[in-house]
Amino acid sequence: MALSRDAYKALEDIVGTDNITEEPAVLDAYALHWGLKAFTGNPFGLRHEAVLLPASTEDVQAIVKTCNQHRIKFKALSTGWGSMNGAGSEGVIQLDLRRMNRILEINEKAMYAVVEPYVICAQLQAELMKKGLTFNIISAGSNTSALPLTALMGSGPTSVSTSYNNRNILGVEWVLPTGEILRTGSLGSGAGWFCGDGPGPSIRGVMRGYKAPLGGLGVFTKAATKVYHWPGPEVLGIEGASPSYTPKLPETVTAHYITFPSWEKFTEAGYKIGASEIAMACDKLPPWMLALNLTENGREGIRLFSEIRSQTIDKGISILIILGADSQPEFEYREKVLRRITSETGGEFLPLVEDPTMRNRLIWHRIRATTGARETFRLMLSQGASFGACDSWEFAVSEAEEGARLKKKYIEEGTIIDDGTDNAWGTVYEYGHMGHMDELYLSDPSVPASGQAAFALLEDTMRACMEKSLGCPQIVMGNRGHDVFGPSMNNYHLWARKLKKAFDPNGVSESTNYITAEE
Amino acid sequence: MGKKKELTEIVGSQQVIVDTRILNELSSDESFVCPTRPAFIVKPHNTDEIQRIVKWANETHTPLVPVSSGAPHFRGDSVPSADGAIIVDLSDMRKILRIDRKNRVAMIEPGVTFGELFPGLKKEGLRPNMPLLPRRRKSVAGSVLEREPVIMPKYHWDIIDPLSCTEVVFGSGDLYRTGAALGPGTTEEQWKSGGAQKSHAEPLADWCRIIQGAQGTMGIVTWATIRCEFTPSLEEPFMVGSPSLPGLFELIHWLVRLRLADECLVLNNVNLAHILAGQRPDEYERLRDNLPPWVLFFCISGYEYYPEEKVSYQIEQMLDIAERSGVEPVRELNGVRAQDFLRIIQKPSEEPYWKTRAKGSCYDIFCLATYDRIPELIRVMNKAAAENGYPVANMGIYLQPVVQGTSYHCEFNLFFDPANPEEISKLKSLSLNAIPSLMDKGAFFSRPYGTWVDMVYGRDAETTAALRKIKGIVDPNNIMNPGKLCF
Amino acid sequence: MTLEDCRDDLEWCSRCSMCKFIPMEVISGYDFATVCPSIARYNFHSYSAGGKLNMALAMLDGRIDYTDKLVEMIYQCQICGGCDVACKYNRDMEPLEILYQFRIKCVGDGQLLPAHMVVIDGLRKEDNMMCGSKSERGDWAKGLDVKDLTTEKAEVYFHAGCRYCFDKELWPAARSAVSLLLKAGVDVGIMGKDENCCGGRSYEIGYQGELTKYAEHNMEMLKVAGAKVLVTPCADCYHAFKVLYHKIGKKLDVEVLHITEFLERLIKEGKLKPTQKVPMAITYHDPCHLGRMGEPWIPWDGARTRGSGQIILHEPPKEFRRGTHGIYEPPRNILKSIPGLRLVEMVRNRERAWCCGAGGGVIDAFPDFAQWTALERVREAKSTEAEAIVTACPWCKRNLSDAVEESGDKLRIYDIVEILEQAI
Repeated sequence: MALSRDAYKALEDIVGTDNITEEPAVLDAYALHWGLKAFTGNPFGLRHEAVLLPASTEDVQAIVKTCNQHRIKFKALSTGWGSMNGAGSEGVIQLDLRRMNRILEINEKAMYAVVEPYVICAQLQAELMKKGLTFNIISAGSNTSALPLTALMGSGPTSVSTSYNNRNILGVEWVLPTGEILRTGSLGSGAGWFCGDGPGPSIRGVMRGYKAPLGGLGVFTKAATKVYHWPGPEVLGIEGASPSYTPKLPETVTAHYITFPSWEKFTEAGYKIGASEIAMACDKLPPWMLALNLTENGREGIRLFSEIRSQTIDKGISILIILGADSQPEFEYREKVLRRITSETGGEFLPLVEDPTMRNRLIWHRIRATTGARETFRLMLSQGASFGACDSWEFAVSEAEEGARLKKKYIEEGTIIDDGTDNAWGTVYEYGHMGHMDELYLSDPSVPASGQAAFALLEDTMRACMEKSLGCPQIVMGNRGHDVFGPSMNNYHLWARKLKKAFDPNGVSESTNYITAEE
Repeated sequence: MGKKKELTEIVGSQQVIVDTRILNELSSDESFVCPTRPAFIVKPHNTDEIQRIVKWANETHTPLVPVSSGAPHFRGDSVPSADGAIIVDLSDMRKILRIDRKNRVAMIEPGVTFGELFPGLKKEGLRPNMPLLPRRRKSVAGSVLEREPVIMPKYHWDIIDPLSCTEVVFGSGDLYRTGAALGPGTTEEQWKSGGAQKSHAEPLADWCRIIQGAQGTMGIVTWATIRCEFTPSLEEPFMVGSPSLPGLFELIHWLVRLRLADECLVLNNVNLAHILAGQRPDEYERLRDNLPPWVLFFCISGYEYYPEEKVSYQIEQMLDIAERSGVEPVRELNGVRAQDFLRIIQKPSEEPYWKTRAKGSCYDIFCLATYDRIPELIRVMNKAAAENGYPVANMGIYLQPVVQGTSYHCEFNLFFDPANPEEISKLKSLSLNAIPSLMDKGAFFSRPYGTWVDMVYGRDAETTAALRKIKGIVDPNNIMNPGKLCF
Repeated sequence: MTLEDCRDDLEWCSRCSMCKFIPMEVISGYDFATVCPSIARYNFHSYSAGGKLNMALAMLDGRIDYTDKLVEMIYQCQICGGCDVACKYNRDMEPLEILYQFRIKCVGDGQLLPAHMVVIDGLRKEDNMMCGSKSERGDWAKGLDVKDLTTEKAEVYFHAGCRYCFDKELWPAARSAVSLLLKAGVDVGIMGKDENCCGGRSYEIGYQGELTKYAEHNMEMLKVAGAKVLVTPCADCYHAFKVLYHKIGKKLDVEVLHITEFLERLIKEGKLKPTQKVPMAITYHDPCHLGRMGEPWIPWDGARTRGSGQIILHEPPKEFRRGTHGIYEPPRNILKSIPGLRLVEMVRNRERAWCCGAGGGVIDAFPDFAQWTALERVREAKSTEAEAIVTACPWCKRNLSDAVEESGDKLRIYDIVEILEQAI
């Protein structure tokens, strides 16, 4: 259903001729998503009717109002890594927020930064580090948006000390699906960005859950995110050339990769390390991903994985701990505590990561979150993930344990890549208060058996979540998914539908991946 | 009489209160909201009764006012704003349902007070992140649902803390569990999988955030999980006196940023003296005059691993920062021992409630602001006080860094004699004058009460409109505490 | 190779957007984080390497056909290789190759930009990319006491390149290069008006036939000239001789050096001694074709396979060119050897350098885009507070100089040879 010429003209008048297109080639560039082929056999999803490049909140507002007027659906995207930004249905225009890319404020004393959607995490972190600060970068990578409302969930390697997106949001400027601009909390009352809640009940409760609304609730045009202390250098000295840079880190920033002999001990260690408040990162980077992280090409990654297998996967469950300190006594204390906890729980340090060069590379890869694509896509066409709900650390470990158990049979039959079975990524949050794990599994949709196995495994994990009370997986999206889980979960989907209907009465904020007002 | 009979059928006759004296007591509170007598008070035992009450209220269009804390009340949110309202008194629901040490969480019914919760937590080596000296009958759930600021900003990751999950009966009569409590499975089944109802967020929304701060206008909470922290094995408290705030703010910034301090708060000499005077009000003036205008209190703590070592290096770090900030932390300030103050604030207020000791009652004006705005807010309040005949020297001020230092809860305590109409009149006028001026200078009234409500919502039309949409979903008949907030 | 042969990579792009930025590890601030001029200028995802891969797949799948806009988007790209380095930080893919193949397909399908047609026409008639007259090709060297390899033999063949030959304002740098070699006692000669184009730029525009033709011609020429070493001051030519010829199976039988490699060697051997002070703060602009794209070609004749289940591997194992081994240090060593000269690096240096804007046919077909790109580089150079940009390619020098002039800026642009000459 092509845009009417009136509608196109109205949109063109808002953004200018150079910033709107219906060119089929451009539309196809936006229609391709890596995840789609696994599900539909075709990497291309539906085409948008047009792609627009708004420059400002005013542009976005005008576009959204036009959409309401002409009953056109819209879907915003920032960096666009993930199929959630796709059209989802017919008659959708894409709002590419690339031109909205400013860091508006870094308030060191009030510990927040205000960004537009196309500031990437690496840019924000680099600026923050100049002031001795950092923030939560999502595990997908620092090539993603720094706005804490774009990623699926938004936890990262440092969530033990920097929490995750849901909990880092302060004031937000939000173009509602109706075109009104809602500024949350203190921002709405004209007091600035520092608080996203109130007056009275918090609109943050509508804005997102542990998952972001994935384009289905209007457009978030600016947001303030909490920032945290960074004990490392303001500017990192980095030597070498891509892909093997060697960062220079002070002696008071270090890391250890520790393997614990059982899930039980691993869980215990996670609690202890969390509660001791020593860790900058408590990052369950599985050995498969570790091997890919530290190598320059896929074959080397496989070789390294088989080399470290006997010291990691075959011995137990592993985790990466990054320590950082502002002083030598603090550093020594943290090291001492970590070693004591490791000893108490039967953990062993991986020698590879005790090498200073490898260690510093690994630290920087995780703090800057640079290697998401390397750890997932370098060796395979498709990566699936299941589980991923958030609650206690023990709950998170249950997710991982169950994930590994379910994967085993597919690995044994050779339809899912042998990543050692335990390929769960996850993290302790907030000094041990919470946690989550995604179980990752690697397949090739172009090989029928592998594609089918991936589906079957996904179904197995969904069933396990239902039967073993392991929450609603992150991968559950859209009506289909929520209609399955909702009835077992207090009908959250019906309440969400009511919110959707109230805030998007004309149904113009495309929400295939969120939830629609209609059942 | 029909309503009484219907309510009796739900909760039993003992739990429906019609005593005029008691109803009169709840028709007003220490705030200046218009007194309105409730028709009844009902005291449910459990969730089922609450749900039946709410459904009944929908059928009969009867306003409900949920109350979980005992008197005295100060904010006006427990006083009905509509005739014929029923107060749903949750104080008989006082079970501590679960304490989970490993996950640092307690599951409690709404009537549980801090004093009732402490022993159970202490046994497990836990403590709550409390507000400053809650009154004895203050309910824990009530406090966290009101988003009261807590005294350990290090553990205040998000403004919703320490609230985690809830079970709530929405105004529609629907029962809902928020956050991880959603399921799948019952809470018991979730526990088997290691779940602990810690995460307040759900797949698509975060209803807990909507219920919080709502003053009972969205529904009635039947239980809540509260995030707790471990009890330290070593505590080293300090006080810092100062004639002005900048040096204190600088020190506080680093105490919180580097996670050095647990408890961390600022009081002016008036408030600190009132707290310390305790049962000896005659001591108040001596204390007040001996204290510097501002006192920062903080505590550096050690836990399970090498606590002495931890505390030692952290104290060294702290002293270094203090020196750069131009302030001097001490263990004892003008005869006041930091250790003694720590003991005081780690419990609820002794009776009488500390805010009532001066003159019998207290009117609080509080807001959120960034540190740089606070001196100007103080100037505004001082001016408003002077212009409205309130002695500035009697005004208490409490500054609490919140959400790990992103802002401050800024509270002005105006002590007054509730039996003195002239004082009340001055305070009403002061409040009406001060609040708009405070907002003009960057104060954010995240928690508006009583007479502030219209002034606050008047500045944010979009939020008001959005909240009304939400209200329309969960309480379509507007039976939940109508007349509060913007509903 | 054809675009269809690249299908595996087309389907493998995960749309991570790394191709738009310098590697995440080295981003050191908000500014100067991008590496792709195309998307930085035009913003639609289709302008990035990832976007072009998507469009290429769409074309192969018959979803789209040529339009003027599509052809424009394909050519609004300097083929600078920044995307290739950024992608290969994490992936074992060949985005740059796909960009080449897309253009080759365009040309093969008759989708030609008028501006390029003019240039290629000139190439075919006059053997240069500058629409100049072949008879005037050697004019830049008039008066230089250097061997004429059409009649004499020499150890070293100095290839000036089309830009130097026909851009009169740049002649001094070319002449200085020869002079320095002569001063160092190098047995060097030139072909003068009989010098031919390297064919590199035409390949980048999609005319792979021209590359083959000139490769064969130059191979023959070198044989006749008897030279053992080919040295060129042009990064584009260096890339063609060193990398592209090898890629198409026409590896030259001589040592191929950029002038900076040669000069560095001469300085190390003591045959050139920079003793005069050149008191200036300068920053060095890495030409794309010398830096990341100057990495030697690594032949590989294999295929992508599946191993251990569905793991994607290359068989035989493939060593990827990731920009690690480009020519970065020789120019820097030259600069460091000059007394009084202070080198300050731009944020985007070495394998993550921002393009000058001239490459890939952009300077011919989209001069405003070429200038826009150059101005961005000038802005970056100025952020270092350097007084001048030093580079090692005439296309870079031309484009950056034009940008500076256009903007009225006072920043000076030098070729590295000019700076070294001041120090000798």
